[in-house]
Amino acid sequence: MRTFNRRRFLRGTLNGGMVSVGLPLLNLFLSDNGSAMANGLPIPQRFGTWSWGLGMSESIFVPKNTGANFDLPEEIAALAPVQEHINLYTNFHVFRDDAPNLCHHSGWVVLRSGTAPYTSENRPGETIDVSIARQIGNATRFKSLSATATGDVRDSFSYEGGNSVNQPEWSPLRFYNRLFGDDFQHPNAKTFAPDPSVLVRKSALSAVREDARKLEKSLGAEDRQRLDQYFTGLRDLENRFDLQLTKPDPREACVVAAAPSDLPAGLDADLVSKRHRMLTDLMLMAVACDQTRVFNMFYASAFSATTRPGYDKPHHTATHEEAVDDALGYQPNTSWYTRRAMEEWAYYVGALANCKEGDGTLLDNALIYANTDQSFAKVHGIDGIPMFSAGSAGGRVKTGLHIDGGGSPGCRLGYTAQKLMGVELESWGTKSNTTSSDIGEILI
Amino acid sequence: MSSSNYFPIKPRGVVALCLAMLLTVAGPVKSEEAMALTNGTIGYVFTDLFWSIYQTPGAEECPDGFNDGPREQFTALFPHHESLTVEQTQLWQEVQTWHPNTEPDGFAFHSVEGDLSWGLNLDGKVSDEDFTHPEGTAGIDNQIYRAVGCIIGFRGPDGVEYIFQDKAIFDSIYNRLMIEITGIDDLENDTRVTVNLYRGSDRLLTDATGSTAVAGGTQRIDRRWGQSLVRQMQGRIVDSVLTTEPIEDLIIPWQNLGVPSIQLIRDARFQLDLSTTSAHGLLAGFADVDTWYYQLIRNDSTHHLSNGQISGISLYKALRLFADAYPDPESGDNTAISTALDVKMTQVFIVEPE
Repeated sequence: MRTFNRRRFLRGTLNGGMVSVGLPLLNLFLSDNGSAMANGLPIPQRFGTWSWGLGMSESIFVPKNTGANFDLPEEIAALAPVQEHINLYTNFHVFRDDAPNLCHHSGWVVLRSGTAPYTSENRPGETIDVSIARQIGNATRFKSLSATATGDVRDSFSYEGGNSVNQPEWSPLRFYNRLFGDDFQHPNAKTFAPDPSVLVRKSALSAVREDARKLEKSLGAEDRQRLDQYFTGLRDLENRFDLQLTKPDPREACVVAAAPSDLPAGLDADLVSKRHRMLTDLMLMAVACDQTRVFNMFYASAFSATTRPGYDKPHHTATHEEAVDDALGYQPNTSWYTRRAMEEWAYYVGALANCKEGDGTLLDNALIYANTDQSFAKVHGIDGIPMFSAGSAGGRVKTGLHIDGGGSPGCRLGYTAQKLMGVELESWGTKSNTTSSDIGEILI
Repeated sequence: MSSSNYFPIKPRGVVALCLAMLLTVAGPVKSEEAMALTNGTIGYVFTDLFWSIYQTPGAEECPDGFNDGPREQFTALFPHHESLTVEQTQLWQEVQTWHPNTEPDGFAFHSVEGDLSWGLNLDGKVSDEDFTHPEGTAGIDNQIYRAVGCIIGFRGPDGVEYIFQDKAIFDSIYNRLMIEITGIDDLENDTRVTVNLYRGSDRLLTDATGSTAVAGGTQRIDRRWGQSLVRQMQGRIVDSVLTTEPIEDLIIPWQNLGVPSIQLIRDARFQLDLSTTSAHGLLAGFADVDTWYYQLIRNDSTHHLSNGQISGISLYKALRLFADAYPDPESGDNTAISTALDVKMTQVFIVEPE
């Protein structure tokens, strides 16, 4: 009897070109409990990030208790509905060594790249989402996707290198058109029509490769090495074309809604919230439809200029100008902004947790990493920058925990996340941020 | 935040352990302290420098409260600013900030009313405007404190100026100042030593946090761009306290928020507690008023001044009012104002550039 697996394709020709048509995601392909493919391969894992600006008010943000069932101080009270799905990490440090403390820059760059920058323009290494996308992002239409609720295309905590920032989508309508425009192949569509133009491009590419292979025989070692690099690039391109010529696996959770209407520019907190939720919904749909497996959502920037109705200072200005209320022990307006951020973090996690997939949810098969740029923004503090994670990464991560890092490197979370996503690392980070110590408390 | 417990062995403990091992296998070696003081010379690099502000827990020295800043003054001056142009409002304030004068601005300025202040008796006299040191010394000259002591941006622990002064020393090199004390027979008592002041050209040696300078680093003298900053003064050490004679002027390369500027201190002198690993105390003298003021507003935009409720317009008038030295030969108005800066230094090996 013929043996089927998820990678089996029906093959044929179209306009003289080969066409591969993937088989649907039948129950036959799933394990008995629906949590993995029958051949043992896990349901695709996803990695996401989320970020907010300007840290926290420590006295009302950091829970008194660690471990499970930790208390939720007032600044993070909004996380109650999703507490079971998240982990909170406090008292983890970023280390500058001989690098300066660059306001609103050093903190997030260290956490995302493992290296302290020397200038505000400096973006050392690459961010963890890029490393992870290289591992798990090659089988989807988009290697990764980024979006920002600020409406500012410059706001991104994701970069490939110093001059190569992954620009986020900043408009819900533009994002929708990019995701579900002409090139979108609906995974649940009954029919599949490969794009003839892609066939032509692939055909041309194959011809080029054939010519190159003939050429290879007449080349010296150095040129052959160059040609090999060239082939590597061609193979990547061919893989992309193959994806577009392959009927995508059905995705239970993939339901494409109508195009959203766009939003006006502006940073009023309510408007930012609305934009964040629209972009979150679109992003999750892109993930549910397997358009990407790596995704970055940016709620507010390090210099967040979000405004509060009836209050004259934007968020960043408030962090510096607002006095710490002696009676309260924190900056009340600044805390208001952080509380709004936590509401949005709760929305983001909740959206993932409500997205059904197999016998669980999208969040069950994802790991989300969340961080900010400062701890106490008023003084540009970077010690004890809080971080979160959400999701159980296919049952490999415990959730609902508050972890006290004991002053250890914050890069341990980035290291742990990369290891969970299959990035092969002996250690991660540079100088004092170097770590080979995962956060074992969360690992199953 | 709970304290760090990640590093079970302190770095300095490791150094001590290594030294002990060296002693075991190689016989006696020079101690770390002895190495810091070599050939009668020891160097220190500045790690903290800020205007000396005497603060009581309840701000008793400011009975009228703290001064308003640009935003509060804007609100008071232009309650109906919507009907006015930018030139008539914000830019008018900017012009006043950059071209200050001594005419009244209509706002009551809150100066320090207390009797106590840190600082030194610079002129050897005791006069009505002088403060008394908290430890009892009369005649303390520190009129900068009188002017800025009731502006929250200059007060610890989180005033905007207070915060940024430390940061700039660690983050930049332009403002790398250091002293080299030579001719030392005894670091506890010596009747005559020479103090050379240089600008360094290297980053500070720090621990992993980047926030704490550690002793034993090396600094090259900036002989190219820093030559005009080189000064020499004479001093004496009594019970490990170095006191220097005043010198005519001292230029401090000052940096804040990425903007380089200077401070000009006349009759500058040090009073420092010395050890083989650090020095701390006061740098005092008379600050040139205009240089002092333009350092502030060049380094800080109105946004940053607003962070600390610092009205440059009002503060300049106060500086001129309280200025107490170096009268202008023509107008008779004083051009310099007494001050003291808290200074902390860490031992460093000072070398000539290659």
